[in-house]
Amino acid sequence: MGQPIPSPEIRELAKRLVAHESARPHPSNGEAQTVSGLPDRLSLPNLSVAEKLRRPLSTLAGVSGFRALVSRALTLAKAQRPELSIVQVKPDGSLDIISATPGRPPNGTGDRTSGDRTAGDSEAVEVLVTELLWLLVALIGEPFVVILLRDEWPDFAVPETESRSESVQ
Amino acid sequence: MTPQEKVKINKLPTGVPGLDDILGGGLPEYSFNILAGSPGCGKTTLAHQFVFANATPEHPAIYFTVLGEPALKMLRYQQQYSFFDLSKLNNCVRFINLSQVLVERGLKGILEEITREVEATNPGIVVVDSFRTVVRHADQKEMEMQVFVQNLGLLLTSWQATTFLIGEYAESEVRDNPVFTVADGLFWLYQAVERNSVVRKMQILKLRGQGSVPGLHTFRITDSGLQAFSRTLGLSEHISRNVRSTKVLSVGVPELDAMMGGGIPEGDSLLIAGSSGTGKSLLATHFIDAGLRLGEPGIIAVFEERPEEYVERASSFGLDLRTAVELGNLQVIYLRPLDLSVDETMQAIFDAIKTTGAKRLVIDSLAGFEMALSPGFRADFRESLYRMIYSLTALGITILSTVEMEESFTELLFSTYSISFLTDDILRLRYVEIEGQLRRILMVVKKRGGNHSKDIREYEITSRGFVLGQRLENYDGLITGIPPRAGTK
Repeated sequence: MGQPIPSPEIRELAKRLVAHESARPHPSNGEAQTVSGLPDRLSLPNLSVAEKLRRPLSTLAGVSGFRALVSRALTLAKAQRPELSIVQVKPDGSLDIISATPGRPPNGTGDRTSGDRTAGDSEAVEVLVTELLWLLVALIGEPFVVILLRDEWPDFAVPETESRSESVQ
Repeated sequence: MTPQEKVKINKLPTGVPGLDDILGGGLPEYSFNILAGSPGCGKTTLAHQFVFANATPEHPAIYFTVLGEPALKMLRYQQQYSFFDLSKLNNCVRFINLSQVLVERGLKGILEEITREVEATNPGIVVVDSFRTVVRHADQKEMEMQVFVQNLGLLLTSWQATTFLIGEYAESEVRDNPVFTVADGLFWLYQAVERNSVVRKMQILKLRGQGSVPGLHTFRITDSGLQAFSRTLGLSEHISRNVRSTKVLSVGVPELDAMMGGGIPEGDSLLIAGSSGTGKSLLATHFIDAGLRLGEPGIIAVFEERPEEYVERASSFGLDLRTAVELGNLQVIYLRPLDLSVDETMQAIFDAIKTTGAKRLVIDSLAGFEMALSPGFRADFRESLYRMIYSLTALGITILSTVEMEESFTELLFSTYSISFLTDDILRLRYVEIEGQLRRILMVVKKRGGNHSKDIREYEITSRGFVLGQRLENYDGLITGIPPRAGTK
């Protein structure tokens, strides 16, 4: 039996959600954002999607519950996007960026221009968010996930719940 | 203080079919309750049913989870039940995990967090699941625990919340436990494996402010959640045998009616005993058919054959049950799961009575009924049968039960269940060997409150049904089954 993979609808939802967050003005800086108070060495944008989900999911499942979820999602995402290897999960479930050794960028990010890296990082985060949403859908069901998303992003158009068939690799 | 000035305690629906009756009308509003039992016995499901039955946006429910079943898994499984209304999530029902709070800040932190959430949300319902994990945390600090429970009870009552604390407790823990002392209601759920069946029962050990039905009540967990079966089926208030009907019902065989002094008194319980093939089911079908012809709806509870077969067999004797089934005047209930309780069976029958307005009930047969029960309930079969017959006849239902007898050629048995005392009237059917033929005889053994024929009469089963013949005057010792001709030895 193959491992279920995220449906195209979930991928699209994650992509839109990341884009939606990117378009929002962030108080800390411009394009690059700070997660959990980290300085602006953070180059991965829009980890704030996971951060915003941390609050309701930690309330629902506990800090350790959310940490387990996001760790699983990150592991699945790293397998697809090695550049996410610079991301780690902190004890409170928030995401952190491991500092790259000077002169030696993290795996998968070394040969790219700044513009490439931004686009690539954005896609990597989309993969992470996709895996997180897909994991939630698999565990608690799509209607519940939609409710969570609507509560956190009232100004974001979350599609109506509908049956989304699972793809199997 | 006059009765009018007494505080009125509202009763909230539990959302569990049958449980409101057991509780005496519902769960007292603002009560502080413990829901206890072993793992897997349905505590969380019961709490969810209550939550989803009562939570509103104005009076939401807060469901606190602590160490124990992971909240996501709980939600994953609980949403499979039909009562789980996804549209109520977050606006009416909120789930909050306190595991970290307990680990980091202990009981004080739990109380602070619950207080904060309650003050912010003003919930009508609060559930803490599992409270036992909170208690274990403080096992070594009894006084701290007592203060915590006391404060929690005060807080939630003051904030007008109806509360359930859920925990895995052993029965031995009931005594001297401060949690149980503070609680207004103490609900205990049990489950036990009896041979290959699971038997689930609940008991209301304590309920302040109103009378509940004492004793153990069976319950079942289905896709709809818990369904409880009160030992009295909520019939207590209706049961009064003071006024009995004087009406007499036809059995459907005029000659037999005559033998019984006109028929069966309404509200009686009639037992037809006989071995296989003696026509017990046919006589039962005549009884139902006679009622249908007079516009009296009926119910047949069958355990040994499918309703369709039962109806089909009746038609082969010219008895049309099918039309009555189609018109809704007759329900043929098939009850054959092998782990039924008598209370579940009664509930099914009682529901059918309410639906059809039935006045006649056939239970065909008691042996099949007993076989359909979980082994654990068979031990109580006689007592349960008594409750069932008593409750239904008190409602004016006339019951005809069949019971299969092993044929003895030395004595005349009426029942293998020693239940003849439960029945008002007994008919005995049996085989006799006469002149090289296996023939059938019938006798009225007992009729409470009236005379009956003392004749032993032959009968035949024909395409027209049950045909009663003449008294067999020329034989002695008919009840032995091997009668010699009268006057011969």
